[in-house]
Amino acid sequence: MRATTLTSISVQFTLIIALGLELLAPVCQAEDLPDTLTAFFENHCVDCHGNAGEGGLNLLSLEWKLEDPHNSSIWVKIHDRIESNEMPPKEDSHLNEVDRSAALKDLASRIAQYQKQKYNQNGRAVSRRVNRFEYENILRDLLHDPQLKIADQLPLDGEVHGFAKVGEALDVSHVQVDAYLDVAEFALRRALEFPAKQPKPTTHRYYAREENRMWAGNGNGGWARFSLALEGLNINEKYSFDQKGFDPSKKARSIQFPGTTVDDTEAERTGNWRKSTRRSNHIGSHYLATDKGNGRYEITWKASLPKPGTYEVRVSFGGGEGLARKVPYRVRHTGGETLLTIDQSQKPNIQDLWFSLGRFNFGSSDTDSKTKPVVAEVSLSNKDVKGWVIADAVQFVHVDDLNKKGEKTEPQEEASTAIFRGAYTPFYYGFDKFKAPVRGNYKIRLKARSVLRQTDYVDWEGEKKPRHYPNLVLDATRRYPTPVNDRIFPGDRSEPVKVYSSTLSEPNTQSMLPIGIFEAPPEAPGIFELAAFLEKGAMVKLDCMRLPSPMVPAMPHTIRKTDGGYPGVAFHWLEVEGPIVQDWPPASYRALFGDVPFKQAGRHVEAISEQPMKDAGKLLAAFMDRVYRRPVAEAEFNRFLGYAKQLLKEGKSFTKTMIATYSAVLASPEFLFHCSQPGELDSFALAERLAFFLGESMPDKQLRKLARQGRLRDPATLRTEVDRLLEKPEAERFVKEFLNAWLKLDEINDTDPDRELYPEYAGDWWLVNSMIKESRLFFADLIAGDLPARNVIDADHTFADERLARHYNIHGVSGPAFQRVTLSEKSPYGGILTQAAVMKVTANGTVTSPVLRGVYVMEKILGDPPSPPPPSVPAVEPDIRGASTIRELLKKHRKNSSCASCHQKIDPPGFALENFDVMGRWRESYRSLGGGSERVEGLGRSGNEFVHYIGNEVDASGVTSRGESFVDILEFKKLLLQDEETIARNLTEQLLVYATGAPVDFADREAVSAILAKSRESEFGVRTLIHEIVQSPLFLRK
Amino acid sequence: METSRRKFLQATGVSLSLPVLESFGAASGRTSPKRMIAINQDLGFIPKNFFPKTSGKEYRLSPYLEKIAAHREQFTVFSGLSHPGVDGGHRADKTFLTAAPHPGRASFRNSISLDQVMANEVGHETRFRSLSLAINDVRSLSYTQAGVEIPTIRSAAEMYKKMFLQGDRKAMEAQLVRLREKGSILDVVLGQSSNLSKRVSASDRRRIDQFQTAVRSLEQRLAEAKAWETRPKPKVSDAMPEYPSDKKEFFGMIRMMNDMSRLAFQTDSTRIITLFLGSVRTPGVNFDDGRSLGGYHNLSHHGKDETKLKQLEEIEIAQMELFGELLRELQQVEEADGSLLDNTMVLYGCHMGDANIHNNLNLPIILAGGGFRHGQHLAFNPHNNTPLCNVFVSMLQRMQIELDHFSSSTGTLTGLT
Repeated sequence: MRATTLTSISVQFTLIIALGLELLAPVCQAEDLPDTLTAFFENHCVDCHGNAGEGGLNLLSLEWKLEDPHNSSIWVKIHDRIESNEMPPKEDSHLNEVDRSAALKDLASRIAQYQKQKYNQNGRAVSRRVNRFEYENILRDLLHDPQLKIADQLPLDGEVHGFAKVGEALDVSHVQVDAYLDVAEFALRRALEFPAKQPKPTTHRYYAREENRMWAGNGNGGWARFSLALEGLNINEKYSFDQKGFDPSKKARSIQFPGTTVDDTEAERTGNWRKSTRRSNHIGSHYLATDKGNGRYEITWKASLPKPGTYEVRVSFGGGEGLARKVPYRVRHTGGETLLTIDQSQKPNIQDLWFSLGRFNFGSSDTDSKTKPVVAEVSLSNKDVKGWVIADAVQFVHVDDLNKKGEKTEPQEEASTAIFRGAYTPFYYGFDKFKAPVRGNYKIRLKARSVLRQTDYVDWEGEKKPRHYPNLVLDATRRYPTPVNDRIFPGDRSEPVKVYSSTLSEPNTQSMLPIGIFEAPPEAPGIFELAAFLEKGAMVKLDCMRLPSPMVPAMPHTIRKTDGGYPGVAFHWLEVEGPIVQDWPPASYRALFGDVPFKQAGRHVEAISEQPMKDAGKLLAAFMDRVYRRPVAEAEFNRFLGYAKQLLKEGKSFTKTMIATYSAVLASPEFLFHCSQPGELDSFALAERLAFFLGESMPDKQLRKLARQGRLRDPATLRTEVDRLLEKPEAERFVKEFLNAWLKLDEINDTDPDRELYPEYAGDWWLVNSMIKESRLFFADLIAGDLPARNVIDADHTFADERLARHYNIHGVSGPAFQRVTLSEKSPYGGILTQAAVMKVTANGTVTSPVLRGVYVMEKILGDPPSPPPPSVPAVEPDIRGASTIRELLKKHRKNSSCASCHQKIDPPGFALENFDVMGRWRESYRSLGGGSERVEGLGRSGNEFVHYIGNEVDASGVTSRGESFVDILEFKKLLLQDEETIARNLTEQLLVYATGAPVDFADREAVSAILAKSRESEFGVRTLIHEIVQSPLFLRK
Repeated sequence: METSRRKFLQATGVSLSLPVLESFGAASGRTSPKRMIAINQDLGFIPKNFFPKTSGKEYRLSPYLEKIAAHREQFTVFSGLSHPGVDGGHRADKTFLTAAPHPGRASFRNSISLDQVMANEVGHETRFRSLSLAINDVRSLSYTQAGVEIPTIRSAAEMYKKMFLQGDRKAMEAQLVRLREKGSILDVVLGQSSNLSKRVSASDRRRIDQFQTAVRSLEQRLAEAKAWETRPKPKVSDAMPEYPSDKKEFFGMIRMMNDMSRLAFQTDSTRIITLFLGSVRTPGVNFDDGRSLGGYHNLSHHGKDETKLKQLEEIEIAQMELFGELLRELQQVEEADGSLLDNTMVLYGCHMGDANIHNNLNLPIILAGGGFRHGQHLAFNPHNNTPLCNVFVSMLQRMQIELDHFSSSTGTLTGLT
């Protein structure tokens, strides 16, 4: 190993040989740093950047080791600082221009040469496997299964610059391979999950009044008063509140049955039963449970029946996994006692609630029976029981009533249930009685209107007289008043309702799939039809998005109201028509089994082949042709075919054989990896790169055709293809994933706004979703309209719905639909830089930090990432007590000279953004919890009580590192826009990492400049940039 | 705490394992295996409440350590430890057990985690090489040799099923068929990739080689799984926990995961566990007494506000108490050669020293059990930290793994043995 000496202190720039790699292939080596450069650094730099290590740089210990990406990035940074005349500092330097440019040129050519040599050997991009989102998209496209969810089952992918697209970081371990096998099997089997007989569409109506979830948050009985039953606009007293509180579940349920119901609360019991509400299908406020099998737990339900006769005796126990399978019941009837053993783990078969123990006679048949009460008794014990035993309610239904049931419970169409609060945590409401019988397309219709509710309150203070609260809404005292005298009126505005589907009763954000939005009108109920693609078992869920969603167990007084009363939405019914079958057999089946016939086998169908060997070959060839992104070599094909044949010979069924073989293809490196030789991409690799860039998936039919014909490389064809791909719906995937990676928009839910400081945002999912949507629509529009890259910084328009418009203080936007809005010249919200989503991901929910936002702007918007802070310097500690501003704290920080050099670049953009709060709304002053000029208290959006103070005024002024001063974000944006090319260059580089799977390095700068030069005429139009990227050698070569 | 705990267990269906259960294999008189559980509570602790002000054997317990005072002689608290070069605030969670530098940097690559080094050595002796658990978060503390995250089990009920629910004969056979099928698929895949690796350039070949290594290591794991599939699962008297779905039941979840971890060790289902307590993604917490607090993550950004600090303190005290419960539970299980705690290294801590400023220095770290010399505060230089990996090396050696180096270690830690 040779070493060169930089100074007399004998410091080494070490030549590193990449050990172990030379066995595989000749490996490029960086040559030594030449003496001329060594001397240059010694003469002009090491005074500060020697052992003094200013700005974290010690040139005496810095190796010349370009094969290490981090080391290489430091040398590039050194080059850039010299090039921009930032270093050496003019005032302390005696450097002349000739020496400077000579050294610069030398350094540049050495770095570039090294990198280009590396490119020649391996290409810019290292072969990479598909990431988990791409894998999911491929299977969705392959199987025509747009809602297939498997990305979550695959391990997280490694990232470079935030992009999960770069080979070096996309490692593979046994965990992935195992997961590939599992998700492939899952996805392929799912394609066979349909009834062999083509399902006939039916139309069913489900009434809101019969839906438990339209009543109250399950188990939240007492305080979850957010619904009322209406007949027209009259409150149906049977369902409504009374002054002592109301248990809607009990009334709602018992009325469905014409029998006598005895709940567990009215039963006699021994043992320490546990109260639970875990299983939703129970009677009353709770049920009882125990998992002891000791025989010491008993319960007896006694009823006195209206008349003697034969009754059906029903019990409720919820049912489901974990419950005892042999529970002893005892029924006492006229004929004596009957002992029964009941399996509680089965699902109750009557109304999802009851299980019949059979029919029994109660009451004697003699004549005085009419005067005697008819006594019935049912009991159970936990003797010798394994698992959980549940004791809920017992019901006795006279046989005559059983027959009348239909007419009695048929609800009137006029009856509805009115909802007065939003959904999301902790309330989910919707129609759970409907569960989609098969996966497929449906039409759903909802009948609804908007209403207003007015209410008086009484407050029971112990035994004292009720006290009336005429204007309670902003009374934040905790007195638990009770609403009385509810009055319902037609709404004074329409109410947007978001409809979504979920297979879970209590959905989470991952399981909610949007169906659509409609606006419930105030004047009379309207019927709204939406097309829905539903999973098997999916239910229809609702969210009245404009109504507040309580995040706390809010008492009635903490519900916010408008001037006229509490707004709400009255739902009448849900009607479902479907499944609507467009093609048969389903496309997903045909993608795997072509026209091989099939028959039912349990939940799935099974393909039945008369000539399995022949069919296997034919199907496999088509499958591999589709998923391999290039021609399939005969040897490759034979290997898999050999496997299929072997399985068939072993006696495996045709279906299982094909699924296993397909799984093998989907786990093979030829499928998983993007592989190509260094140099120009061949047309298949080009099609692949293009498809993964603009559609996040494998090439479509047209691209494959062009690749086969070898026509794709033609610049005009490429241009047409880019335009075509950008028009496809799959381009939305590109917009979404690119923005997630570039701007970190996928972190939008990582923090929630503090409820004391920002009470107006508590639980406002609508706002958060709209924020994300704004950025996506805006970026998609930049592409669609080829709008200039400067729109990243500032724009005269954006996209907003009602909620976001309110956030931005824009008037005249109503309803949940997004529209293009023109922004005034003074609006700070133009441009991606200041969009709410960006402001939220750069804040932490409590405070904004100019440092974090400044670093973000440099890294993501200006393409000049600052160095990380030296570890020895303590970070600035956020302080919201109101005494000092972040600016004062930073001032202290900047006194430290090792901080100052970076912070004079980092802080200005951060300062300029200080007028945006943690959710991106404009503020003139900070809010604090400790004190300030004004105390603000009240109720937040979700009924949350809050207190905070108006603190110091925001000062968003600053001076850039180039010495230009600005007073606010508007002036700062103007400064940034003096150099549109920097903005365009950064966007281009971000797109290039995403598109080519390789970071943009020093040697690529020339090519990037060429892209920019060609885009200049369009003022760096974003679509033009994409076109020029695709036409650039960076894209066309590996 | 005791009464509320009982109440809680009753309410959730986990039966108390009192009187003390005899551990698996303890009667046979053989030496009990060494186990390890590493727990990361990803918002850490308010430093002034966590770290003792004095050091050595005679140190005075800090307010938080008071909560586990009963176990004073069974743990060592450290100060002045961190992973050199690890920065990036929250992002450092993935390096808590790997110490791979600069998790926030673009060129970051993770490396193998402590537990996986152990699992590679001792994992073949148990049904599960290791278990990676997480609460309220999808992320994991465990990483493979290639730095790939190992997915977590996120429910105590699921863990129970995996460990103790014996499928019937049919289910077992189906599983064996599936394992065999996976094995045969891998054969085809492996043959395929060897063709490919001949065609690609040098740096690409390394990626394909890594893929082949991954396939081989999966094959080995499938073979192990096949062997275990035919052996009966251990039987326990505890019922399957009813794991809550409400994220705010954080403390209940921790308790159940702790219980299942103890059972896993007792039944020798595994010897290596990592548990990620996802405080960051916990929207709020319900306490045992029915009260609740919102915005755990926001509270950690307390900005020195008194009210917030007080609320955060309440949550952190509950965390410490839960940790104390785990120690007690492990202590109560007797094995042939001491308690289960004596045979289990319990590493507890966080990758951030102070969540309010997101720094990754001066980490709060406790090591309990495992037969080390405890009862002390080992204080290292707060301005020039000692690598946490030195503790890891001591732990590896205690596991009878002959390694004198792990990641950024510079030696073992003196004073523990």
